[in-house]
Amino acid sequence: MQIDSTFFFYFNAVGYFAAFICYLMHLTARERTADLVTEPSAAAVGVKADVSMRRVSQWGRRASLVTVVAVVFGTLGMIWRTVELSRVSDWFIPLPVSNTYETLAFFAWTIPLLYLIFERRYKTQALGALVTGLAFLLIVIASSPLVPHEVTPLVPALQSYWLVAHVFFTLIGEALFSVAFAAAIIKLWRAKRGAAAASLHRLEDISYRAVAVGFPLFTLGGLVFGAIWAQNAWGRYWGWDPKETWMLISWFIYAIYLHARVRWGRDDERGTWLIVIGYLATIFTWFGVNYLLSGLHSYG
Amino acid sequence: MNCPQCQATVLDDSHFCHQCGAEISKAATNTTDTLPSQTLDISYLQRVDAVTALLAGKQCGACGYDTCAENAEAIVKGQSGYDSCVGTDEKTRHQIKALLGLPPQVSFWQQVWRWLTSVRLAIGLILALTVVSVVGTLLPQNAQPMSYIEQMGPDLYLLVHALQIDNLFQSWYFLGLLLALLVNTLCCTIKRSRVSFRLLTRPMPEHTIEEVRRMDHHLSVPLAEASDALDRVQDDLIQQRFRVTKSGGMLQAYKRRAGRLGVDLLHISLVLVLASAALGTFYSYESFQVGHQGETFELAEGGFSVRVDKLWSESYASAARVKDWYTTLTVIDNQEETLTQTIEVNHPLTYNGVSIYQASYGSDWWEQGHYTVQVIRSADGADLGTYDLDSQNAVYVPEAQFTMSYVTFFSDFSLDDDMRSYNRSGALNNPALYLRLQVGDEPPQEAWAFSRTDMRGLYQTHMAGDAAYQVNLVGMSAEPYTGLRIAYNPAIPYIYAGFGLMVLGLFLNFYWSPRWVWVVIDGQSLHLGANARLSEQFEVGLRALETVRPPAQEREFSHAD
Repeated sequence: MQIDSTFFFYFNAVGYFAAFICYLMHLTARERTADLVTEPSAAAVGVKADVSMRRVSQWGRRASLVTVVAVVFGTLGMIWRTVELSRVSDWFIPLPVSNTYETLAFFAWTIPLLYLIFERRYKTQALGALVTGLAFLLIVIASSPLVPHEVTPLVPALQSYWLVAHVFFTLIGEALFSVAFAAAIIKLWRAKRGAAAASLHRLEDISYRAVAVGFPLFTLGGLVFGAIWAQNAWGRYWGWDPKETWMLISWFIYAIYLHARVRWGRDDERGTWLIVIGYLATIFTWFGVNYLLSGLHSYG
Repeated sequence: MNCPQCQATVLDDSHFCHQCGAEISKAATNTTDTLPSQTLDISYLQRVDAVTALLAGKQCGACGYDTCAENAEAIVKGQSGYDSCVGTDEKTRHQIKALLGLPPQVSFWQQVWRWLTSVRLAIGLILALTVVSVVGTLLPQNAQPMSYIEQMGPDLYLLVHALQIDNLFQSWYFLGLLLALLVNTLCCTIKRSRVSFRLLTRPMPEHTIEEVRRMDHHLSVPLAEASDALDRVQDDLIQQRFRVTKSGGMLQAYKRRAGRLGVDLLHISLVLVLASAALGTFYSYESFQVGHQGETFELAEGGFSVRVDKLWSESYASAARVKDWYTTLTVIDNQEETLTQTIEVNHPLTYNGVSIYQASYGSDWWEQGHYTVQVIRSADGADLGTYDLDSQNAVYVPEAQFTMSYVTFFSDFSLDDDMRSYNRSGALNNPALYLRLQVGDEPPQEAWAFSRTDMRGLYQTHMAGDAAYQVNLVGMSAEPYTGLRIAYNPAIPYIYAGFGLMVLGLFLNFYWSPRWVWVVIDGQSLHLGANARLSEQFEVGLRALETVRPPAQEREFSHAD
C-alpha cells in the first residue's frame, strides 16, 4: 500500500471515533454522577458516587489522550499533503486547501486542536463528545467516495496567497464557532435537565469566549481577505454571490448574538439559540450553498 | 451564608466565593419589589437614589454615561430612557418606569435620538437584513426574464419583479435597511465614543463600598489584620501591569484601557466601508474586452489605450491542466508608451485607477480560425485536393466548380436528444466545421466537415444523404484570444482603509478588552469589584486577593467538570 496523505486522514478518522466513544462514556458517567449527588436518598450513594467519579476521570483522561494522538495524525497528514500539493503545483502553498477534501480535512483537524485549548483552560470535558463527533463526521465525509481525494494542481483562479489567508482565518473562526456550538448545545441540554446555574454559566463563558475569539478571525478571513482576493482576481470585492451572501448571513447572526448579549444579558436563552442558528448558517454556507445553490465559489 | 461548593462562610451578597471561586447564585439580590404608589411625592434626589439602586451597577458606560449614578439622574430628568441600562431585566425596567411616575416631558427629538441610538434598533435591523438576504439567495438574481417565466409562469414573475425580488440586493427596501443601519451605527457611535473619550482621558471615578459590591464581579474578603492588605493588593495589581491610583482606603486600577475604543473603531469602520461602497457604485464601471495579438483598444473612461503585445497559456508539467494565462499589455497614454506589464489571473495591471484583469483565454475559432479541408467526389472517391479557408475568406474549388465558405465551427461536436447538433465544450475533442457550398446560382448546400474518421463515417451513412461531394477537415488553427475584464472603482482605497480600521477595532475589542478594578477597604473587610466582560477576566482580581487571603485549600477543579 502506498503511503500518502489520505492514509493519515483515515487514521485521523479512526482516532476521532475512538475519542468520541471515550468522551461519550465520560459524559454519561458524569451526568449519572451528577444525578447521584443531587439525590440524597441513601447513605450508600456516597460510595456509589465515589466509584462513579473515578470512572468519570478515567474515561476523561483516555478521551483527551486519544484526541491528542488523533490530532497528531492529522498534523502529519496536513504536512504530507502540503508537500504533495506543492510538488504538483510548482509553487509552495503553505496550506493545502485547494479542494473540498483538503478543506474538510483541515477543518476536522483544527476543531479538536482548538477544543483541546478550551478543555485545558476551562477544565471541562463535557463538550468533547460533540466536538470529536463533529470532527469524525467531517473527516468521514471527506474520506468517503463522494469527495475526490486526488492531489490536483491549482486552477489559475486559486493561485494566490490570498487563498491560504482567506481559507485559514475563515476556518479557524468557524472551528471556534464549532466549540461555541458544542458548548451551547450542552448548555441547552443541561438547562433542560435542571443543572446548577454555575455549570450553565461556565458553559456560557466558553460559548462567548469562543465566539469572541472566533468572530474577529472569521471577519478577517471571510469578509476582509475574501473581499480583497475577489478584488484581485475578479475586479469586484463583493458581488452578492450565494456563498458571499451566506457568509454575511452567518456574520449577521453572530453580530446579533454579540449585541443581544449586551442587551439581554448572558443568562438569556435566546443568546444560546443564536449561537446554534449561527453555526447552522455557517455550515449551510459551506455545504448547502455548494450543493443547493449555484455561484462562482464552486471550488470547495 | 455559606458557599454551596466548599461551605466556607461568605458575606451575604457575594457573587463569588472567596475560597473556591465558585459562583454563588444571586437569588435574592434585587429586593426592591415595591411599586411605590406615592412616587409623585418623593423628592427628586430620592428618586435619583432609588433609580441608582435599581440600575445594574456595572459602571459599564453602555448607556452613554460614565457612571450608573449619572445615568440615573438622566433617567429621572427624562434625558435617558428608563430601559437605557443594558444590565437590567424587564421587571427592573418596569420598576424604574413606575418609580418615575408620570413620563417626564421629553422633546420629540430627544425621543428620536434615543431610538436611533438604541441597541434594540440595531438588533432589529440586522435581523431584517438577514431575512432579506436569505430570500435573495434562494432565487437567482438578475437573470433573464424568460428564465424566471419558464420557472414560475408569467403571473408570479410579474409579482416577483414588482417586489424587486429578482434584484433584491439593489431594491429600495434592502438599501433602505442598510441606510438605516448606517444611521443607527453612526448615532450609537457618537453617543458611545463621547463616553469612551471621557473614560480614557479622565481619572477613574471613585466608588463606594455599596457600589463596588453591586458590580458584575465582586468579592469581599474578611481581614484578620488589615494593616497592609491594600498595599499587597496594590503591589500585585502593579505586577499584573495594572495602572493603580490609591487614595485613602481605595484603589482604582485599570489596564488595556485602549480596548474600550474597539467597538467605536469597529462601528466607524462599518460606516466607512458601507458609505464608500455605496458612493463607489455611482463612479465605478466594469466592462469586458476580447483582445488578439497586436490589437489596440481604447479605454474611453480611463483616457488611455492598451495594446495587446503577447498572449500565451501555460500548462502543468505533471498534468494536462492549465497552469495560468498570460497577456503582455502596453499602455499608450497621449500617444506615448508609458507602461508594459504582463498580467495573469490574480495579478492585474492598474493604470490611472483602472485595472485590467486576466479573466479568460482561448482559441478564437470563430473570428480568427484557419482551416484546411480535403474535397472528395462521392461518385468515384476521387481526391480533388486540399484547400485552405478561414472564417473571413471563402475558397473556390475549380474541379467541382463550387465555392466553400465558413458558417461556424464546433470544437466539441455533439448531438442532443432531438438529434440537433451543439457544441459541448471549448476543448478540441471533436472538431467540426460547418460549410456552405455554392454552385453557380443554385440554392446553396450545407455540409459538416469532420476531423475524426469515425465521425466522417457516421456523417456519410446517416446525415449527409446523397451529397455529391464529401469534405473532410484535415487541419485547423486559430489565433488565441485573451478575455480581459476592465474595472474602475475609486472607492477601493477607502474600503480597504475601512477594512484596516475594522480589523483594528475587532482585535482591540475582543483581544485587548479593558479591565477596571476597584478596591475598597473598611474596618473588617476588603471589597474588590471588577468591570470586565467575562468572569474569567475577573481572575486578575482573584489573583490579587491571593496575597491577602489566609492559605486555604487549593482551588481545584475535579476532572468531571
